[in-house]
Amino acid sequence: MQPILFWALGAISLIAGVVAVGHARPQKSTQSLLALMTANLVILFLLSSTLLAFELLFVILGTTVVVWMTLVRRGRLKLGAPGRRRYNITKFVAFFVAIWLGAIIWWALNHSVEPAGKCMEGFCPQVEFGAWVAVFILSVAAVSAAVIVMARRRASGEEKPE
Amino acid sequence: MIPAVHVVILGLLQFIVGLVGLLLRRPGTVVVVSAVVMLNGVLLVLCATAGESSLSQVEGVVVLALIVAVALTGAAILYGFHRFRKTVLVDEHDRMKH
Repeated sequence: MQPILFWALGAISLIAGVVAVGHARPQKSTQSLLALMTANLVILFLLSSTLLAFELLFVILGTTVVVWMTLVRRGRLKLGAPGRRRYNITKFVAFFVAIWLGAIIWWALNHSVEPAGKCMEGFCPQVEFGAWVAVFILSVAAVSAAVIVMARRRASGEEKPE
Repeated sequence: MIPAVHVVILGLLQFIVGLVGLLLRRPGTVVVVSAVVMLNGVLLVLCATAGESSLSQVEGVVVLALIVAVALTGAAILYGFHRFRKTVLVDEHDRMKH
């Protein structure tokens, strides 16, 4: 039963891939790419690669939001147009990337039994160690990004002085 | 149980479809989509050959990060092309200056 389901999903993904590559309209092409990635997601679940399947799910969600806001409802995404609210696509991308990185770190913290590298004298690096390093680097990146955004806002005069 | 050979065949077919699109199509958006299709095939092949170890799954995560990076970088390059040359056809972009 599983091989039949696998090849049914494989046929869907292949047809979606051909449509994505061959269609003349970029919107249909991107939507076919989403269909291909969704079929691949189910295939990954069939292969018991749960982590990769969830990662791919986050990627699909992020792609869906970006495609929706840039191609389908593009009238609402006129950045900087007068009289309209400014929708910044970077915030959506950053949101899904943050969820994605959080899932990776959560997974790494829960797989701390397996050694991540070669054991040296008295020191055996674990996956957990790498995960905490990732947490530290991401924290530094977040603080740096906040400082840069605040400095740019102050420089461009968006923030009114008291 | 799905045989690993089937997954490898499907991944290779996806890779070939993406490669054909990458080489033959002219619109920049389709070129980026073709690259993502190719990387999806690579991800499937990696899953088929990964086994149960955690480090093999980390390689899959790296490929997924590569997919996101290719899509975002390609979109940014296309935006720049369209801004300066008013077209996204890759044949029109034959200079490194605008």
